[in-house]
Amino acid sequence: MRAEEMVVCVLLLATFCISTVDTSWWFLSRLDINVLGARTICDNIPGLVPKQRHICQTHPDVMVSIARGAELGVRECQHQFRGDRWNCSTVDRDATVFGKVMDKSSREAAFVYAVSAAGVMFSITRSCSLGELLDCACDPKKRGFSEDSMGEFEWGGCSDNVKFGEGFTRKFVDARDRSQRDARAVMNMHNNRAGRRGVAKNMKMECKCHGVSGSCTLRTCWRAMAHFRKVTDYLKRRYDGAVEVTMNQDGTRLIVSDRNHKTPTKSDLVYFETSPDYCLADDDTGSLGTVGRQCNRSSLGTDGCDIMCCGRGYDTTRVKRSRKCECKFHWCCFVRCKECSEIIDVFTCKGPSNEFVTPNQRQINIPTSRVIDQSDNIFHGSFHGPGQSKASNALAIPRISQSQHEDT
Amino acid sequence: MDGGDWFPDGHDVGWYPEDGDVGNIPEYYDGYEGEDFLPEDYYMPEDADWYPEDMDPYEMQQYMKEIYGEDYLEAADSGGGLSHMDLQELGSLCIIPTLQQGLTMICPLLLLCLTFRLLEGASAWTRHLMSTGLGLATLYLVFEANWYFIVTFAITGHLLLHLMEGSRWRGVAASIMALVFLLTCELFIVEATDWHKIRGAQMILAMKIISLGFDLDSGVVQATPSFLEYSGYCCFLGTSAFGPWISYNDYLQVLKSRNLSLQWFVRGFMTTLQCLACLTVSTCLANWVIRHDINKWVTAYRDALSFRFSHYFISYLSEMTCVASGVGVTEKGTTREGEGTDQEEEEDVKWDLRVARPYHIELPRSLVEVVTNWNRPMHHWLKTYVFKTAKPLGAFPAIILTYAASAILHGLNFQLAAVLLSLGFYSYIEHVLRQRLADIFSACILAKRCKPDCGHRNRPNWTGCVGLQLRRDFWKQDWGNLISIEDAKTCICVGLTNLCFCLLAMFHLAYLGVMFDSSSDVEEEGYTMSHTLQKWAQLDYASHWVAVGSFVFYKLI
Repeated sequence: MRAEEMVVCVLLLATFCISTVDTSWWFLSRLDINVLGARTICDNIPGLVPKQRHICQTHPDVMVSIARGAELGVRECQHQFRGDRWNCSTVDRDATVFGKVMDKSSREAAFVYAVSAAGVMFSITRSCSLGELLDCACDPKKRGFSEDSMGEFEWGGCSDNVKFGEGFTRKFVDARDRSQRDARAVMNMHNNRAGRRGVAKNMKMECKCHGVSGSCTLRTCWRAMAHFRKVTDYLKRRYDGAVEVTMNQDGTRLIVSDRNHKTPTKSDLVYFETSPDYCLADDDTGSLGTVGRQCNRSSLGTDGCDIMCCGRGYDTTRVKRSRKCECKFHWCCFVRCKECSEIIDVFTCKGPSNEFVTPNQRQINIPTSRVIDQSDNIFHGSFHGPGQSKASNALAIPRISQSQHEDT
Repeated sequence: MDGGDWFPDGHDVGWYPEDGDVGNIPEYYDGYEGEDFLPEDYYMPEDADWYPEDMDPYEMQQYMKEIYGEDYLEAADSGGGLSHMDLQELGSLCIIPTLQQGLTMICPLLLLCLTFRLLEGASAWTRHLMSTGLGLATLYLVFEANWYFIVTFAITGHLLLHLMEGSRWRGVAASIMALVFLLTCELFIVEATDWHKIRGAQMILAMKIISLGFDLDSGVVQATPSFLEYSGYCCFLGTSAFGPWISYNDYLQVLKSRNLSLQWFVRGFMTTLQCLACLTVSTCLANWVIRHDINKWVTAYRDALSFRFSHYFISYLSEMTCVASGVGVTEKGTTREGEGTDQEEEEDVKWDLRVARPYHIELPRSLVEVVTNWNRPMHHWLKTYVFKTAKPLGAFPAIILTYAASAILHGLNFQLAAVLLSLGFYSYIEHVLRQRLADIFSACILAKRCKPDCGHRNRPNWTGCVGLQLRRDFWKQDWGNLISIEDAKTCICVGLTNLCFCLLAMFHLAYLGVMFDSSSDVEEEGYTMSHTLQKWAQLDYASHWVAVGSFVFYKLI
């Protein structure tokens, strides 16, 4: 515990030294807390509002699940965006975890809020199902209103694990936004709800029929939680179809910006501002740029070198890599893979000028030999100028638009 | 809590669809807390085309391969969401809810049966009345609004038997009436979902009426039962909802009062445990143990296994209701006149009514054994009332008629008819093939187990072969003295042959049971022809080809 406290203190100091933006509960994803340690570090975790701190102190076991859920959310976000210009990267010495990118009310912010809320709900529900949490079996005393030092609050009541997960997530994750009364808070709460609904939607009800000679006299049903990957795939699709909204004059409603777009449902993601193009590093938007990112030469999607590198062209390096291949499932429970070693070309995006920029060491192995293909550079350099094609500006995501209901 | 009336009160709903008020900001702060969380709410129509939810497991496998590449096993969850679960999660998410639901269904039935058993009425009349009353209560409990179909059927049957008093053709007439009634109900009157629920009970009732008709013809039952006796028999609560068929004489046997014995209690308890165990295997464990879709045949085996264990669950449930209401099997198996002393009766009653025998089906000697042990009372019924009646027409027509009767009783169901027809042919082919082989090699490799006096030369001395293992001085003995080479060879050869046929039977079973999976919505309405054929086509109709091949082989040797 001492070591943990020290780590947190150091991080805290670092936070104060580096950045001063609004911190957020996402910082929990960095911590490796266990039940014993949770209570003592509640006061020291940056980014929690008083209500969240109160929850931390009263439910240390759930905090462990929340931390795990936050980490799950971040990890899945990075998986989903691994082929996009903005790859959900986390900033190392930043208490906001994602950096300034989240300040802009963009689609990416919507997705991050949704997926982190989904991760927390998923994690809490799962812990509850496994019996790791003390609180979640429905205690009849825990109904109605209750009071503690912070004031009156209401128990959500629960009839099963999913409800408990949903209620608890709502209380914790929305705590900051409920205390603020601006458009961004409303957007965050909406996206959090969309994330929670994504988890609920992907819980399948599995039923089986029983009866004489295969008839369906009796049915037994149980709820299965899908793999979290399915939830994030679902949320990614929602991200693709996110709806741009604005606040109306009075400040009482959110309305759709473009009349031709569909009205958002409770499961859709909403955002206010269009995203920057994340092509170049920019301190104002918090973008890290795509310099040094690996791209896929043959792909036509966002991970293709055309779009990823924003027309700046790419460098080719020859690398020896070993990977798992020929994975076979052995009865009963093992998957055995062989190690194949191969020499492949790795393409990394160039920087803004035509100098060779050191590729980001984190992303590829140390190359055993460097081969720079001059001809490729020239070819691509002349074909796509910076900022020429439409593709480099937009994120090349299909927008689903349906005609609107007529306003009568 | 976070009080504040920062926003004005207006909650206008005009512009947004019912889902709506997505844009209404105060709702986020105030009405938010009371949001009712029902998963059913979330399946909104406009969400429907966003996600490929209802995929066939086979298609899901292809889809996963496309997205994740060949190492998709980590992300795939073909076994209905179970693949990533560990045992603890499985226990709390699947096994516990299933057991809870199972117990919720079983306990009321059990209580009613015990009530019947424990309340010993003064006269037979009272007991018939109790049987009817409790039986109707059971039917209502299980089938709810659909119970009057069953009651109508029973009343029609009584009218028919009453009208044809003294005739010799009551059995055949009852058969025709039952057939007509079942077909009419299925085709015209009852909804598909409802019919699929009550199909089983209707079948049992039909069997009861037909058996009563034939028994009256042949004199096994002397007097035509009165309405009360008849209704007591038809609605007998131990057998009306799921229960096995019992004959009228067995029913009369039940009504004789019996003391409670320890044996009875133990048997009842054991059947309940077996019932719940089979339910768990069917719903949760089968899909969890074989969770990755390695191979379509292993998946087929798993789906068929799940279906078979569902059948065992129902069989043990019916055994449980029977035992609880007092249906035992007496040693002599015939009606006893007069009352013996209680002492005598105790010794003669054995509580060993068996409906299904899982061991003989999972590790079958042959398909014939599977068919016999699938539903023993029904097998007995088919043998006594259909096969024997049709025997004058010839052996092969009689067999076909038996399977046809079974198929018709199950209702107009393509998949069941196809399965039963296939089973009929497979068992016939296997029977004659093995008989021919047994004649050629004079070995005990028949479809049925050999009796001690079978006269085959190559009869393995299993005690000799197996006893070899149990000798304490195993390592020291000279092997030549313990068992002769001939005996060892016989053991091995016969054992291997039987094992091959066993595996062949398991292969056939996997193939035939593959369509009873839970992946589609049609499970509640009964599977259609296209579903069946599609499943079999995925397996390339392998089993049918193998059967044809073995028939050809039989003809050649």
